[in-house]
Amino acid sequence: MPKLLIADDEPHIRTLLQQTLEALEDDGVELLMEHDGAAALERIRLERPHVAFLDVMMPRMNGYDVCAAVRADPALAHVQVVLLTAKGQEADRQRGADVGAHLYLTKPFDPDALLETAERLLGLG
Amino acid sequence: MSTTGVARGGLRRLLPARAAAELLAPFGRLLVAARLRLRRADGELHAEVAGERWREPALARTWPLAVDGIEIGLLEVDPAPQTDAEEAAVEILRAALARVLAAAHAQRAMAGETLERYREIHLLYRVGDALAGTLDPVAVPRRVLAEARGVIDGDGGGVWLADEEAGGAAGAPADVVVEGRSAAAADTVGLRARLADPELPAIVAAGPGAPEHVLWAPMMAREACLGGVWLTRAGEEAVFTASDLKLLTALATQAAAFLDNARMHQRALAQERLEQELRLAYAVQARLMPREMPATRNWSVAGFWRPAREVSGDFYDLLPLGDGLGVVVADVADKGMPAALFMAVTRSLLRAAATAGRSPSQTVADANRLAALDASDGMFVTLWYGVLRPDGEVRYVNAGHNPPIVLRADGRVERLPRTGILVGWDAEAPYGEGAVTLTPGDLLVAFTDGVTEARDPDGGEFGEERLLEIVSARRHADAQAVLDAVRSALDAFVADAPTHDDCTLVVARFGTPPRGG
Repeated sequence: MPKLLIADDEPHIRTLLQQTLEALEDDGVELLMEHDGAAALERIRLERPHVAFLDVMMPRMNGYDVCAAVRADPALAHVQVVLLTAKGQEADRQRGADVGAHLYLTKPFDPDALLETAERLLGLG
Repeated sequence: MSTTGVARGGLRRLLPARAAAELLAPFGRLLVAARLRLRRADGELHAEVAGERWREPALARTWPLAVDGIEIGLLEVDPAPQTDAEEAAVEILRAALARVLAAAHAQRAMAGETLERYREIHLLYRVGDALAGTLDPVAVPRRVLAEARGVIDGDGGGVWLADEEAGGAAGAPADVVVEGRSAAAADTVGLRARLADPELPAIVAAGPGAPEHVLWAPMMAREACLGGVWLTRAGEEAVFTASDLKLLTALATQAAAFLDNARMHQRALAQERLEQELRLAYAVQARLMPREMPATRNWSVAGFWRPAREVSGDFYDLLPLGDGLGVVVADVADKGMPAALFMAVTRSLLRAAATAGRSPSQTVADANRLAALDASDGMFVTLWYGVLRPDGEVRYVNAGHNPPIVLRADGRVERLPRTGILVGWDAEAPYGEGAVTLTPGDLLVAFTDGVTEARDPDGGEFGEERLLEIVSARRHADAQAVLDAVRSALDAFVADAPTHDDCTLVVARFGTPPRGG
């Protein structure tokens, strides 16, 4: 069963993300939720999701560092990381690319585009 | 969330299975002999908890689970409660489920609203990006309509573009009747339940299968209504919401800015095309002016021509006529392109008549006869046409033109009076012929009133006296030197004051000027 992890420290944003991506459950995708960077990294190591949507500004470990740790682990090479953030400067995007993120999306996100991105990364139709 | 949303989401979304099992667990410990189950609306098992003394199915009892009046599942207690205590426990469980489901529904509804706002924000970004490079005034509202129909449900819709010139409607779909109301009539924003509203343009109301509900948003830019976008729905209950109106208005406002920009761009292009055409017209006219002075025995002639705008109604012409030289100085009554075109016609008519060996009066009469056929209201020409002969005789026609000056070598001044009315007024007008004979050293100066009526920055007039003074001061010089002196003085006089009239001047000198002149 394919898995998709959502990590954001704001409950309201987690709700929005979950509600946007819940249609994937109809395609047999399991949605995993975490609320800080360290817990997200631990969950990724445990569950090995195909896709991880990570907020950048999270407590204990930010999204950039989680992404870098995932990229540094050969066992997690298949995990596609999407960084989600309100920080939209070119330097922030470049930092995301530098740590190996597959995509960098800014908030407020476009719900339809987000779902489409997730479907594409999961290899769904 | 709409009721449809509740039904679509259902128990699975409002209370995920794991959370449902956690909610049931304490009640399972309380109702030790019962099995508690939650079933979804389709009958599928969603979650279950069995008490430690539950053994096998018996006669169960069910209670519906509903949110917002929509049934989303069932609570099943097997066996049905046997005692008052068990009934009370089940009631507590039902109340807990109701609270949890209601809270989850409210949270989903709020999240749904937020996601809709996110969609709208991105729609506006997308439309803005798509329109940023668009300079086609028709493409702008069509794109906006397409985007609006993507997010607001409707049975139909359209765009209306106000005609910039007439204030009516333009670019309307072929099957919609256009009444051509002015843009001001469409200057309303509002949610309309019926088509009878007189403030809506007829273009929205007309057409086959008139809809029940119309959502209309004008495109306003710089306090002007550039057109509008509308959506329609049929059906008594299918009203548009205030949120729909707000979104359509936001899109229409955005479109108006781009449409305004697109129209300004088109106007700029049209202006540029017009200026290019005027530059070409000037080039054509300039080529009609004499490029070199024809050699004529005993006469030296010089001329200059300066349009007030890109094109001119003035002209001068020099026509070799055997051993004589025809000189024309003319001024069309109007300015700009119409005057320039009539100027070209008049020049051609005079040339044709003059080179046929006709006398000056016959030449002007012939040209006038044909010119009067083409002249429109206000399109007339004043002209002076003279033939300079090697013996100094000048036979001329002055058709309503300001009298040329003859400056004798001894300083006397004569003016060559009018011998007929302006050309183009009356096809049968007669033209008398004047005559004057110049002697060596005499000058003849023919000009248009643009020279003598030229104004300086303070509004003062150049005047004929000033012209005469300048010519007199240089009367011993050759024709070109005299002309150059007048031109320099005119330029200095006018300075940076705006030029309102074309200027044309011809100087003819009889005989060779003295050395040093």
